[in-house]
Formats: sequence, structure tokens, C-alpha cells
Amino acid sequence: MLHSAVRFAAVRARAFGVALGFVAASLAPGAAAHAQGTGSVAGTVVNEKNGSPIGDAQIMVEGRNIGTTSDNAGRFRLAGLTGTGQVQLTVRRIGFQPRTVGANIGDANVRIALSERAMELTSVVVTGTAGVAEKRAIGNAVSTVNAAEVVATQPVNSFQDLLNGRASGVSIVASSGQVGTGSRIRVRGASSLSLANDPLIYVDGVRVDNTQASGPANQAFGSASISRWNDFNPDDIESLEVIKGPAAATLYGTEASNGVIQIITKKGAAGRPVWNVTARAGSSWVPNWLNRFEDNYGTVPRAGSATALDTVTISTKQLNDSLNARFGNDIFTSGQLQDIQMSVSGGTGAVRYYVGGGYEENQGAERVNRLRRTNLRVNLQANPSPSIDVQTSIGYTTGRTYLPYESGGGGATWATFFSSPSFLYGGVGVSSRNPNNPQLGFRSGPPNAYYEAYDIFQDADRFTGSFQFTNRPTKWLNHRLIVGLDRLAENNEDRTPRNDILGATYASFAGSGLPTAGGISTSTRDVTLTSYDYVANADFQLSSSLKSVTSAGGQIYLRQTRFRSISGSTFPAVGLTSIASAAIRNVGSDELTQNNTVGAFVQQQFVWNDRLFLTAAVRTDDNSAFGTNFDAVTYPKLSASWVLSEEPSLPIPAFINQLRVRSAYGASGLQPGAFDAIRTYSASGGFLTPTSAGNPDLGPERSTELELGFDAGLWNDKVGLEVTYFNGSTKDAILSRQAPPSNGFPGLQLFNAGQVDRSGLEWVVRGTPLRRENVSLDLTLSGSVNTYNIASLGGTTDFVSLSSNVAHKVGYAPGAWWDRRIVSADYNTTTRRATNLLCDDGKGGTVACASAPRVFLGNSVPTQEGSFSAGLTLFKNLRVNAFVDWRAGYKKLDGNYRVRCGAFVLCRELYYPDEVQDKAQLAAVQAGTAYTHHLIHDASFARFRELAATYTLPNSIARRVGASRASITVAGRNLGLFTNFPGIEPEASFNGGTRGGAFGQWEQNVLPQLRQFVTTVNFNF
Amino acid sequence: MRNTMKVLTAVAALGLLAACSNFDRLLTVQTPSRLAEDAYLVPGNASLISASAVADYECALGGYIVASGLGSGELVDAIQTAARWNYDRRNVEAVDALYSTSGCEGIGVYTPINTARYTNDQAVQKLEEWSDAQVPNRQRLIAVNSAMAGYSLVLLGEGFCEGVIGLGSALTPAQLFDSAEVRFTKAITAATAAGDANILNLAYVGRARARINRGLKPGAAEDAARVPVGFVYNATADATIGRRNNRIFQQINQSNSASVAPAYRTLNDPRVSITNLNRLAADQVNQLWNQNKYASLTASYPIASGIEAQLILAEARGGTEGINILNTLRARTGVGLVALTSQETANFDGAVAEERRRELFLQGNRWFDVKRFNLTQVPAANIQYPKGGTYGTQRCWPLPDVEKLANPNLGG
Repeated sequence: MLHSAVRFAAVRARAFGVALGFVAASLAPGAAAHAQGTGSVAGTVVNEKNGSPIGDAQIMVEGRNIGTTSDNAGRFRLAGLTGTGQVQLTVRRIGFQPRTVGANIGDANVRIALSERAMELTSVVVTGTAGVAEKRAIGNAVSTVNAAEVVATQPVNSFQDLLNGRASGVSIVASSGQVGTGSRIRVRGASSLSLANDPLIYVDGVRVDNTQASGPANQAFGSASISRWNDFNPDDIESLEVIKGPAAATLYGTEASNGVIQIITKKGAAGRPVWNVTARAGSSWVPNWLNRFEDNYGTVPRAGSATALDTVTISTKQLNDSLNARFGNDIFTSGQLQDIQMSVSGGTGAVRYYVGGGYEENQGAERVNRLRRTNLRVNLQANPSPSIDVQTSIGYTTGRTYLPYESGGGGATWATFFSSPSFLYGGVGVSSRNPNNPQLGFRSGPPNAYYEAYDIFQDADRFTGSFQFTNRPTKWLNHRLIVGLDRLAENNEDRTPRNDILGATYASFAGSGLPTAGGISTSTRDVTLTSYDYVANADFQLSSSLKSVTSAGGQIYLRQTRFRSISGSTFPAVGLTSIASAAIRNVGSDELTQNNTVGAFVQQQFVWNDRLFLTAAVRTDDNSAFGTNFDAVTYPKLSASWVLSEEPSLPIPAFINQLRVRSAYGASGLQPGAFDAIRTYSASGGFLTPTSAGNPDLGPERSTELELGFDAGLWNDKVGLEVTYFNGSTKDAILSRQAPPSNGFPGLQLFNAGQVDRSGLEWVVRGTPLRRENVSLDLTLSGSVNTYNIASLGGTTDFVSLSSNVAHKVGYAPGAWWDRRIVSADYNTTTRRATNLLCDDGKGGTVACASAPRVFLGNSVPTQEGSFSAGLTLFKNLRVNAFVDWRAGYKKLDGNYRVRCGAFVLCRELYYPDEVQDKAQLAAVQAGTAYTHHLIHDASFARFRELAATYTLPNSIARRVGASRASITVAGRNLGLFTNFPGIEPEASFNGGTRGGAFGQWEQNVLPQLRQFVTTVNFNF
Repeated sequence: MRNTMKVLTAVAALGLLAACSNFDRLLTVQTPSRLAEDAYLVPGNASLISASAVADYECALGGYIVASGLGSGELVDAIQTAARWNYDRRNVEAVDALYSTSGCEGIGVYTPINTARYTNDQAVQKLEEWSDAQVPNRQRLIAVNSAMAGYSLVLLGEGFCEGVIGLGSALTPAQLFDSAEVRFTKAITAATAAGDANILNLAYVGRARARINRGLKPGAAEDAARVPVGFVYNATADATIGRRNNRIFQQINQSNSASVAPAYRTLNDPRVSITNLNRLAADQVNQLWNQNKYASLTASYPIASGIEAQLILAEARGGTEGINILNTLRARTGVGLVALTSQETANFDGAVAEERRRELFLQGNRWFDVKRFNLTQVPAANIQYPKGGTYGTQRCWPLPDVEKLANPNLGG
């Protein structure tokens, strides 16, 4: 009874803050010091797994009405203990097994280690209603990532590193190994045919900008590679919660059908100030780069002959030797990481604080690739009265990221991957064997020329702040208001300084010299997202076993984006690179986009005996982007959660100590863009021209989903199991296709047309197979599979082409690979060319390739993902973590091979066609860029992502520097790769633009993922 | 404190209520860089609507001159990536995005030409709905936009193997030229009513071009003969707005994305003025040769001219009269070339085509001339393209897939 009362108190404390206020006010060390008594016990609560401190743990003295909570350093002090001898201390904390230990009155250094539960139904999560709810009360799965623990021990450089592989159903599609670049994130795959498939992000309850590709288009083809997700400093994050699918996200309304990711930042705990200092230093590089890239082939004139040619090769090693001889440096380098973060937290029962800040410099494997970032966070919580909580959460980050060109933009990788022996000599088609070419064999020019010619960077300043006011005017009512602001200012610059020597030396850099004499292209993107979120909860105890919880609320989201660009060229003198100094200036664009949503919901929950939870809700949204002929949209939700293991009448086997079944059904939506509904014209040079064809009937996509699952704790929660099955569909799926140009309007036109069905399974298994005094092992296996199928494309067609090899087709996954496929070819030994090409006719036969249809080649979005992590603790102070993650069930286009063979005639097959056994493959290679089927390969991979060893120094050593705890971590990242993908890197792709975005992963001239080693030291004071 | 909090709670609730009570205002957004159609298409904007439609054609023409210049052998592509090779190599495929959906700044052709046809037709339709009282110079505006709609269809018929008007079915080039003629005739009627000789000549040159393209020589000659040789109707350009740049200068002289092709480098003809930059292009294959016909980003470029009318007249009349016309053009002030030799005039069509290639250099005529005169393609078909693959035999661009897939009358 006492246990449940304590647990209830803890839950309520988290839920509303007030209990924490009371408990902290009365039991916190500061307050306890005033209590009468003669003795005390003090000590530390730590995680058995890694020795890290556990804050917010409840420590009660058995048989006495004395207790306290631990602060953020895990410290506690129990005062007012009368008598002598031993007392029994019981320690409880959500997520951990409770533990009772003996302590002598007067002990000042008691160490209590708690072991984590593999299954915890009483932990609380954010739901969209007022406050938080226990996991057991909600009918859908919520993946939680204990960010603070991960960041403390693992080599995590960014928010996306933190999320990668740690939440089932979340797939990270990486783009580049360049420092500062981001990835695309998909929650339960991609179900929208044309709109963004990006999840929403909330920071402490406030919706924030979730752009996954911003910055200078350094990858060209419209692809920018910086993700705004990485603005959030992992060191400031306490935990992440991933809400997946429409059934779970109904209360978040329109825009939420791709899922919601909640970032909960660190908060202060009552107690004296706890200082934390973390310093990281590391190094990263491209693994095995000297031998990783293919040799390239070309021809040069044969010595002594006017017509004959010799076929010769060039390797990365040759290139590097030439570069070293000329410039004294390698193609790629080892970049250095330096990062220092500091925080202090503490407070009293009435006011608590967390203040943190840090500075990071990170350099990539290309010399000009680097970032520097400063971040600050101030989180305050106050309880001005027993019924009121006030909380502010303020984060600010500012920094600059320098990015070299890659992909379609050129750069060091372009110069290296697509080098040619011809560029050692006179050049393509120039009859010379004099190795005097300043390009040294590199395409366009050596990497040093790129670094000298371009200066590309993004400045980003971001403020994210919220004010939360929670009030409990009566016992049965609580309500809260959150006002949030996310303000982003991006400045993107792409400078080509005037450099007459460079321009005269390299043809590809002629723009640096006269007559162009350099140039600059600059753009700014300013985003302001303001949100107002009011929710009220009313609890009524209808009978001794039945409780009613009614919630209602409304939200207003106002989003404004302003984008401006301007460019100029021809600088009068070296050293000038401003727009004002350019002789020719061009106004690019000045676009203001506003998109507003107003919504409200009502939810009713009935709770029976605190073990059966039935919930029904309805939400209505109206949005400024909905078509003029389209009204507000309403989304329903139903869910049930039943904790079977607490049903006295059910015969549950003894080894199952917790068992819950759950189900949820719900809908949410995805809204079209701001201008998609209206037909508009824009001005250019004083004239107007058609811009958007519009569609006045356009409404949001509507996704519905049924989710079924169970959570089980086995063998006293030593093994935890969470399994979730989902099945749903997106109706009125918005389909974007090129407006027919003959109708006058350029660009894309959206209409509600299709239906996409989906289903999948997600699982997490956690266990501690070994737990001894000096050794313990914990394992986690998580994963998911999903299936997507287009059920309809609107009735008039079953095939919509997105590009020449990506299409939507009824009966297949959205955005799959479709192209002609050569299945056989003859070979003319005289001309040494493949002839008589026959292609797959899509019906099991063949047809002449000139009239062949496009056939299915594979999915472009991963259908499986997962991770395995293992943690070994030795002698209580050494912790080793290993982490492997994988993606599977999709194909990717090897654009490097396409460019080497199809465009630049560099691959061996073109010079030695007799060697190629598969003449159909040869035919595709010899056809230049006409075919792509031979480039599209299974890109499944598993990556040994992280290995980290953390040693917690003995307290005696820590105390010598005045610290209460000190640890040192040595960690490696991207240590191994297992894949059959024949390209350079399965995790390389365009992050957006015409060759990236939602579908059709395309690797072309992208820097591979870097291997990194980092040493971290951490002190608590 | 408690009272303060009650007040705060009340204020918060009232504020929210106030905000929520006016959802319509919350859902009204600004679009300062875009104008909704119903706000734009009003009589008060008649001059702007007309001028904007003309600007659409001017931009489309600029892109077409460069793109068709690559296909016809006036220009060679000089950039290091493969984006424009299909223009240059004459193997544009229906799935290609560049020629079908790119804007005129990116030297797309199909979409800008269709946009120009649409906005000029729309301008005429609106102008005809409105009254003279509402719109000053209404007939003149009808005349100019009818002519521009006609020219848009001429480019569509000349550049493409098939075309479509306003979600209709696929039309042959001949059908497109007929549709152009209807618009030129309307322009002639309106220009006559407005008493604007300049637009009248613009329309006569256009109708003559549509007719000669159809092989209707008497009609073509009749219109061409009405146009004074000194007439020129120019597209205007601007340096600061990318869309309004002289696209030919911008692509060749400013960005070095294209170079004058070898076949035009040694003509030694004042009508084809060029400069050797003595430098390799970024593609490291072609030498850079600039054109001198257009001197800056702001240089105007002809939509129609008396010279073109004379060339049409010469072609339509043929014989001695035709040769005399060509020789007169060669001898005119500023050109001063000797008369064609008898050997040159023995193949009259060849002589006409050759004079047109020089007189109309980089004006967007050569691509269709190669087709209608069935000229030998330069570089020849099937020889190796220096940057990969071989030259194709294409003499017109295919109807793009984007039209076929999205147009309900084409199965879309």
C-alpha cells in the first residue's frame, strides 16, 4: 500500500509538478536541515549500469515518516533521525527496480545502486493533453529514448545521431559524411505520395521548425544538406519521445500523420547546485579512402604514333601522390572535434533551474568543412502557490557551418571519384602525352583549387522558447497554457572570390577570373513559428472503481517563412566579395509564406480500477492552406489499454509480472503547402507571370490507423517486451504532378487522388541476462518492418511518374524504382558493342528496348530497420556499450557508377568490353545514361555504429579535483559496415532536391560517413 | 498571490477565447509576392496583363534561341555536367525534365512557350470582354497579344514534333501554324483598327512565317511584301532580373555555358560576329567563342524583322526575284557582301537556307530550318559526341511526357 502510494506520489509529481513542489519543499536537503533531530544519513543514488547519478529518486526511511529526493547529482541527505544504529532505506525511481538497503545513522557516504527495469508501465509520457500520462494509460506505443544517458556515454554528435536506431519504427536516411550535414527522418516509412514525409518536432511542448534540408545547395540539383533538427544540442536533452502514426498523433491534428517527436530538455531538481562539465575531443576521417574508390580509365596518345592510343588508369593513390608533390597535402584529412559543455542545476521546492551552455568546433575530412556552434539553455520552474506551476524553457544556438561542394556541385570528391588519366596530360581529345596538366589528373581541378575557389557557409541563429502556466483551481480540474516561439534566422552564402590566377589556370574555375571575376549568391530564410496551446483536464471519481477524465483544448499555430535571395558577379578587385561590390547584381526572390492552423479537441477517458483505460477523442482543424472550397477537417480517435497482470481473476503465468494489451484507432492529416490551393501570379521585373496553378478543391490528406500491441515484463522485469502491429491507410492522398504545361501554369499541381495502405510490426526486447556483483550485461534488440501499397491513384490512372526512374504505381510501394530493364543483348565482336537489346516487357517476356515499358525494380524507402545494443558493466565502474543498427528492404541508385560509365567514359567495362560476361549489363553501360536499371541495387546494410567504454573514476580521485563524480569515455563511431551495395557508401545520398527528398535515394559524389574516435571527460561537482 | 493567479488564469482564458473567436482572421494569410488570379485579371490591370504576357513570350524566346541553337548546331554546350547534352547531342527524350518543365532561365522550352501562349491568349480574351471605356488602347493591346500568342504557337510548331493548345489533343506542326495564323489575322485586324503600323508589321511577319512554314508561299509572300526592310520588333531585356536577361548573352558571354559552334567560327561574315576567347570551356572539350550580336544582358533581340520578311519573300517568290532579294540584303549598308555566285544560287533552297543561317544567326530560326530544308545535320548524326554517346538524328523535340501524363485528352 505504501509502495503504491509512493509511486502514485511520484507519478503525480511528474504529472503536475505540484507534488514535487510539496515533497521537495518539505523533504529537500535545504528544507530538511531545519528539521529537528540528532542524526542524519547522506549518500548518492546511482545507476547500477554505468554509475551515473540518478536524480529525482524517492528515499524513504522504513518505519519512519522521513524521506527525501535525490538531486541531479544523485545526492540525498536524510536528517532528523533519532537514535543510533541501522535504518532501512527504500529507494524508488520510475524506470528502476525499487531497492531497500541498510544504513547506519551518521553515515555520510551511502552508495545506493538501482538497476533499470526492462519494462516500466508507470513512466510518464507527453500526450497532447494537459500534463503527462503514464504509459499504461494510453493505447498506443510511445518510444522513449533516455537521451541524457546515451549522450553521457556514446559518441553522439548531433540530435540525429541520438535518435538513430534508438526508437523502433524510426528510420534515419543519412546523406553525407560532411560535418554539419543532416539526414532525412521517417517514422513508419513514407505514406504521403507528394507532401513531405517529415515528422513534427516539439521542444518542451512547443512546435518548432522541422526542415530537414536547408542551407546552401552544396549538393546541387536543389539539394541542401543541413538539417534544422540538429540545432538542438544533445547535451541539453533529457529524453525523446516518438509518437508514431495517426492513431497516436490524432490530438496533434493536421500535419501529424508522419508522427511526432517530442524533445524534453533537462530541468532542475531541488537541491544544492549541481555542476556538470563535459569536454570532448576527437578525430574523424574517411575510412580506407586511399583504396576505397575505383580506378578510372582513359586513353592517351601512344608514344611515337600519330593515331594509336594507349589505355591507362589512374588511382586515388596516384592522385594523392601528385597532390602531395604539388601542394604538400593529402586529398582528405583527419578533422578534429572539440566540444565543451557546462551546466548547473538545482533550486528549492519553489524555484528550480537548469542553466547550460557550450561551445563546439568540429572539422570534417575535407579541409574547408567545419562548424562552430555556441548553445545556451535556461530552464526555470516555479511553484508560486500550491496550485500553480510556471515553467519557462529557453534555448538559443548560433553558429556557422562551412560546407564544400559535393554531389552535383563538384568538389574534392567529384575531382577524385571522376578523375581521368586524360587530365594528367593535355586534356580530353588533346593529343599530348606531356604530363603538364595543372589538374594533376583530377576532374575539374585538384581539391585545393576547390577550396580556394569557393567559400560556402550557413549562419544560423535559433531561439526556441516557451512559457507554460499550469493551474489546479480545484481538486478535479487542472488546465495549462503553453505559449511558444521558435525563431530561426538563416544566412546562406555561396561565394566565389575573384581569383584571376585560379581562373586562368583551370578551365573549370574560369568564373573566378575575368571576365566573370567571381560572384556571390546569398539567401536568407527566416522562420517564425508561434504556438498557443491551451488544454484543460477534469477528473471525476464516478465510483470507487471508475474514474472519468475529460480533456478539452485548442491550439493555434502561426508559421511564417520569409525567403530572400540575391546574387552578383564581377568583383572589381581581389578581396571584395559583397553584393554591393559586384558589378552585376541580380534580385532572386522575395517570398513570404504564411501558414496558420487553428484546431481544438475533446477527449474522454474512463479508468476502471486503474488498470483498464478507454479513451475517445475528436479533433477539428482548419488551415489557411486548405482549398477555398474545403472546410475544416475532423479527426476521431479511440484507444484502449488494459493492464492484464493486475487483473486478480486472470490466471497469468508467474514469470510474467507485467502484461498490458493496448489498441488505438485514430486519424490525423497532412496539410498542403501555403500556395497549393490558390491560383497565383508572381512579379518579376515589373511583370507578372503564372506561378501556381492552384486547386480550390484541395483538402488535407487523411490518414487512419489501427494499432494493436502488448507490453510485457518477464522474470521480475528482467526482460521487457514491447510489440506493436499497425495497419492503416492514407485517403485523399495528395498527389503532385506536373501541371500540364499546355494549360499555361508551370510547376506542380496538387490534388486529392490516391490511397496508400500500410501495415507493419515494431518490437523492442530488453533484457539483463547477467547480473552479478561485479559484472552485468544488458541487451536491447529493436526493429520494425513495414509494407506500403498504393491502392489507388484517383481512378483515371494507375501510374504517375515522378522522374525518369521513380514512379507511383497502383499495387506497389510509393515512389518505387521503375525503369526499362535490359534482359539480353547480343555482342558484336568486331565493333565490341552490345547489339539487339531486348528488354523486360513487364509480362514475363521481352520486347525491343526502344518500345519497352518501365518495370518495377524495387522500393526506394527502407522497409526494415533495427538496432542491437549490448552493455557490459564490470566492477561497477567500467561500462562498455556496443551499438549496431541496420536498414533493409530498399534499393538505391549508384550514381557514381552512372557518372563514371554513362557520362565520363571512365569505367573499365567501356575499354575492355570483351571481359564483361553479362552482355545485358554491357549494353546498359554502353548506352550512356539511357538506362538506370543496372545502377539500382539493394542497399541494405548493418553498421557497427558505436562502441564506447566509460570508466568511472574512484571517488577518492574525483574528490581530489573537487568533483563528486568523474568519468572518462573513449568511444568510436562508424567502426564497421556490412553491405552488398556495390557503390561507395549505402548511407550516402542527396538530402533533397530532384534527386533526393521523399523518394529515390541517389548516391552520387557524396562523402562517405566518417569514422570517429572521441574521448569524453565528465565531472560532476 | 491567489488573486493574482486567478486574474492571470482569467486573462489567459479570455485571450484564448478572443483569439479563437476570430478564426477567419487567423486563417487569412498574406501573399505579398504572389497575386491571386481574381485580383489580377481586372480591367485596371489591362496594360500590365498585356505587357506581362509579352514578357512571357520574350523570356520563352530567349530560352528557345539558346536551346534550339544547341540542337541546330549554332552553339555547343560548354558546361561540365551532362544536363544539356541531350539538346546538344540531338537526342532529347520525352521523359527529360530540362526541355519540358524548366523555365526560360534554365533554357527550358515547352513550358515557357506554353505559358506565353496561354497568357497572351488569356489577355486577348479578357481585353475582348472589357470595353474601350475600361481599357485605353484596347485594340492595340489586343493586337500585340494576339501576335505574341501567334508567335508562341510558331515556336511550338517549329521546335516540337507535336504540340498541344490548352489541354487539347496533340496537334501537328501544320495545325499549330494554322492556329498561329488565326491569331496573327486577329492581330492584323486589331492593329489596323488601332492604326499601329509597328504591330501590324509584327503580325504580318508572323503570319508570313506561319505560312511559309506550311509551304503556303503565295500567302507568305503577300504578307512579307507588306513589311519594310528596315522594320524590327525587339524583345526587351534587363540586367538585374534574371528572367529578363538577354538569355543569349547571359548563356554564352556571361556564364560561358555555351559557345558558338565550330561551323560558325570561320564564316568571316559580318552577320555572324564572334570572338575567340582562346580558352577551354569548363567542359574541357570545347573552346570558348563568344557571340557579338548581343552586347550585354540588356541588349534587345528581335522577335520579327524586315530582314526576315525579305528572306521569306525571297524564298516564296524564288527564281531571279528571290536571288535579287538575297543579293540586295547582302549588299545593304553595314553588311556589304558581294552577290551570291551562280554556283551558290544553283541550289536556291540551299542558298536561302544559308542566307537565313547567317542573317538570322541566334534568332531561333535555324532549328526548324534544318528540318524544313532537310539540311545535313552538323555535326553529323551517329558520330561520337565528344562528351559521351553519339549525335542523334533529331530534328524536332518530342511532345513531353509531362503533357501526355497530365493532359486528360492525351490519356493523362
